[in-house]
Amino acid sequence: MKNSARTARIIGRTFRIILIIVLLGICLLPIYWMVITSFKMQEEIFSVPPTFFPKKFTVKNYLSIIVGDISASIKFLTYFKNSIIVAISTVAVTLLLATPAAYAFSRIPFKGKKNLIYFVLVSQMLPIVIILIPIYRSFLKLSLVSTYPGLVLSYMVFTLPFSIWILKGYFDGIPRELDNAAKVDGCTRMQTMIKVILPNVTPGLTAASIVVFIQSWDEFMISLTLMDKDSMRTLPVGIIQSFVGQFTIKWGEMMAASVITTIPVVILFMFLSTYLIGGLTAGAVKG
Amino acid sequence: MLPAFIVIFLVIIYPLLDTIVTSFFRFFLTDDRGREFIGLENYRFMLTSTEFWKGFLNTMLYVGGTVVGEFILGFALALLVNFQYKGKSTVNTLFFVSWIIPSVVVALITKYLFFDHYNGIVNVVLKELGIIKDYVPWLKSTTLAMPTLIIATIWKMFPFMFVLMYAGLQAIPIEEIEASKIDGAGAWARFFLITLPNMQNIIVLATILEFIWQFQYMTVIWTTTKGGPVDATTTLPVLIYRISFKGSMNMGYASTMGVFWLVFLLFFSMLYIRLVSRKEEE
Repeated sequence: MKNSARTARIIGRTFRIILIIVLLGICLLPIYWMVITSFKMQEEIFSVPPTFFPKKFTVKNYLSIIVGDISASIKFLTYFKNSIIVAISTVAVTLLLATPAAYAFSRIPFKGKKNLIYFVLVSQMLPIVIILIPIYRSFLKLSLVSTYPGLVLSYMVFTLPFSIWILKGYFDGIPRELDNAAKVDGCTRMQTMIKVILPNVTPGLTAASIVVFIQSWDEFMISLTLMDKDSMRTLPVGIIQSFVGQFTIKWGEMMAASVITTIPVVILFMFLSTYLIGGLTAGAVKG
Repeated sequence: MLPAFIVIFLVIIYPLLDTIVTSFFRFFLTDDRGREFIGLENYRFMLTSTEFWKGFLNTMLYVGGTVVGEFILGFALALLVNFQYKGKSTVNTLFFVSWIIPSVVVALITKYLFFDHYNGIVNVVLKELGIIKDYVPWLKSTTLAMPTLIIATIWKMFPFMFVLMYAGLQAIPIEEIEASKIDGAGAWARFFLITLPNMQNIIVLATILEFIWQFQYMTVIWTTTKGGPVDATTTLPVLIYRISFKGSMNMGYASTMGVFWLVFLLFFSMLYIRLVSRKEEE
């Protein structure tokens, strides 16, 4: 009797693990297919039936977009550089603005501060495609169209409210006794925040940074609209606008470009995945 | 604190007010005459436009399909992996990977996997398995383009739902589970009596956030089908983008749709939160 219950449990466990492996396989298959295609020769990509492992490895696709065709390759590196500059600046500016605001929401009592979650929700409801129009028009007057500061500023639309929310969750987790102790020692509010509180919320700052980096690395519509000049385009827009037309059916090159576009966020994720997932869930679980 | 509010005013509040004002004007960017006040004319035009309602219906299909799909997949997966075994954290991390894949890469992969020719792997596999006879033109078919894009979007977005549901499961007080086991509650009873009630708030928050984000999300659509074929995948953001940045650049009409969108989401979220949220027990 006891034995059969144990057997049933072991079977259930095994079944669960097999199901997990199968599902994980399905989820990762598209990524595997992208990577493997990027290393295949053009003939092999078109071979029927398709090969699940390249017969002959080649880096030709990568060379072709990075050093091959001069005009296209220079563009690719420019797009990459633009994306890096924009993503890193967006992270820096967002944190600079969101940290004091989140600290204030967490510490300073003022009317309506309980409603932060509603402010965040409502801010996410704004149709970005539509507020792009006034932003575009005012940026034209301010000569911010096709500039890094302009794009970074407009990215605050979606990075700022969410970061304030994530960071507030972390500030809430720091005991107020710490603030009071600093106050007794004669620190101003600003000093308290920078010297005493911030070192304790590095996981939160890391989490917010990586979320913002991934968001701005991914962003497409705003960049498409605000970066008029080809030389100022970010990677996602650059790939779609100039590569797809050029290599309509050259899956090898397109997948190689996709892999390179994915690498920076994957590297970040490899080292910081716990922070990212922690940051996404921290605010939500507390509600 | 102050600088954050200046930026929020500049990129959120001012554009929002400008959008609301513009929705009452006849305003084409291509027309030199500038703005002309026309009252509710844009609203009348919108509410009687089949193009608009088709776009709205497509949006509900796309958003509804992705959010429901993500939720079912994310919740089921969270329940599935929620037991002790070696390598669990690695598995959870690997399940999250598709969330970080850039949207345009998701779009390119989708185009490649669902290619309608001899080397589209989805077609090859389905034909090999005998499920389809001929190659299916997934993204070029008016009936299949939307489901294909929904599947692609679910793949990209479900990990967010998964980690939130998983975190929610970890937050259930262990005493409640133990007590119900002692009371002899079966797995199903435990799910409905302990798991669901404890998860209610996080489920509401996760689904409403995803709903709002998906309403907005157009990158995968724009970069695969551009809203086609024959408007089959034209959701509201795609329609607004087309009206405001292509052709005659009808800013007034586009703004009207934006106002409708905001009002709709506000009402929808309020209703949703009120209907399904658990009353805080004082």
